[in-house]
Amino acid sequence: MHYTRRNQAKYFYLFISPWLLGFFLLTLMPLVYSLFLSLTRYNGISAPKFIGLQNYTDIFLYDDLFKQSLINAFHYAIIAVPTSLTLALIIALLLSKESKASNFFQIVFYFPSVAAGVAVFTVARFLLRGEGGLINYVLSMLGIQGPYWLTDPSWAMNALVMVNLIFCGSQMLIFLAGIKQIPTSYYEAAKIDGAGKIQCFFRITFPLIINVFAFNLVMGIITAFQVFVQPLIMTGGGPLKKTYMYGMYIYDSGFNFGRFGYAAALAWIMYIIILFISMVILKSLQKRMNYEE
Amino acid sequence: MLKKIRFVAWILVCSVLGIIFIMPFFWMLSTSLMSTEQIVQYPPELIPSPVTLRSFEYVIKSGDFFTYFKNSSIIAVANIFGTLISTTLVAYGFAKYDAPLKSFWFALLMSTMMVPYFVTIIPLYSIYVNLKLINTFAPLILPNMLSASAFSVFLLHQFFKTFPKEIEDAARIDGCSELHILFKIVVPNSRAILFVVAIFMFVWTWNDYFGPVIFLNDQSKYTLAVGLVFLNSSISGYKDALDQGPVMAMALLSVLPIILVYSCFQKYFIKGIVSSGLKG
Repeated sequence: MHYTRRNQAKYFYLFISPWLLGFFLLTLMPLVYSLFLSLTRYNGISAPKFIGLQNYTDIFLYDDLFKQSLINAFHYAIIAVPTSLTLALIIALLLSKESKASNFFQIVFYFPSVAAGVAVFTVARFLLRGEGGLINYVLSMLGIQGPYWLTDPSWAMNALVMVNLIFCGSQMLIFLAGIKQIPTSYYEAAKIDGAGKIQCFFRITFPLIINVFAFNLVMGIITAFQVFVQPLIMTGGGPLKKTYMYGMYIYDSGFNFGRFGYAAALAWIMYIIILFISMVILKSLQKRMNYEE
Repeated sequence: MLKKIRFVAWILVCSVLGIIFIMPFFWMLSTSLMSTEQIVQYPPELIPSPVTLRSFEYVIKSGDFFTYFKNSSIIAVANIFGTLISTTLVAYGFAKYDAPLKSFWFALLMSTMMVPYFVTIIPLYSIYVNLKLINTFAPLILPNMLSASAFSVFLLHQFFKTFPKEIEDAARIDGCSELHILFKIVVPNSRAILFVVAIFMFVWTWNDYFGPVIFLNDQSKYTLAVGLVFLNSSISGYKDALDQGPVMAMALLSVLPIILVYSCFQKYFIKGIVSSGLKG
């Protein structure tokens, strides 16, 4: 038979060659090239001029917009990720009992995640208008004077986080799948031992979905840190740069200010931060994660 | 009795949350059917009366709606076919053949999910400028032709691994080539999972704003997402900035294909997300 060990390796590389090509041309080469560009002054037209670490020293020593946008990105991630994960987990728990109604609600709650895009952000901007917006109208019926969500510097970030909540659907489904894998006998045993609902959650459910939780957390942070389109459409980074995210600064530096070398340096800093945070989370959860599968 | 109360409370909580989640889409629909007068009045109303199609007329007559729609469709279709072919090959390679370094390549493939697009977009832009590919669809299609979606490869890989080896071996003894086995035997039995990959690719490319806004300059090349932002900014400067009608009509038209695909195939979407996350 021609299906030998060596042949297998040949077929392996033949079959994965589209990805190998794509990886080298569209990921690895750009990564290396962008590291090089980050050491240059480059306006996108004339040849890049090597300037050593000057972009980095400029960024760390003199750039207030860098600090502001980095703080904003952290600010956003620190509230958006936990709130969205909590809501996803609550909904998953609500829907964990198999039923027709629960299947229906899964479909409803997951829909905004599928349709997430410019159209939804545009509507959200209208709904959140300070005067005449639907949300403030509903609040006024409850006797609450709603803020100018998107134009008040102290509210804009919260408004973005709030809108982000309706996109928790895929995290919810992943939690739900994890919860459904837990054998019901565990809960029955706990019940006999007199454990309450809350105890059951912290002693059984949560420890058993810690893998899924880690996955959602890391992916959530990576996405939150790169948030771009939502604030661009809803606030444009304002008011007073309060929602000017790190990704927007990278974009502006390159495509609006024509400082591609500088933008590349900013992007590499983002990459390193993301890698670092992901590693820390995975390492710290590693002891508690189980690799039974 | 207690059971009943708890059920009602459950339905109530889920419904209220559900209404909040669906509100933006309902708002698009109702506002796009309203007259200007009804839109600008306070308190805001939810049901259009009288129903008017003037916003849709505006969008279709004054804008390049059909051009945008055509562009979005071309990009989506090309990405779907590109990704189906390339990720099938790649995932099958990873699932079925042994080779030294295989686990290294697989880990590398998965780690590409962690590379922020901001890092690669700047060099890619400058490369595409030099290749004169800016303002063409190529930068938006090429990555998926080359199996860029680690998510899709992962999904297919999980599925192909479970495909019975005995059937493949039997075909091999009958003298089938490896490609023949994949496309004539494995693929026809993987329609469901391939469909999952296809609809996710559709949704991603349809919703994408970042790529098109960077790589496309001419209005005649815009996708729906870019066109919607363009319409929004060109209207909001005028006195009738409060009239959301046309923008909502276009927003609705641009998510309509997503709504249609989702309402027909939600099961496949849910299946895709569930099987991707569980192994993560």
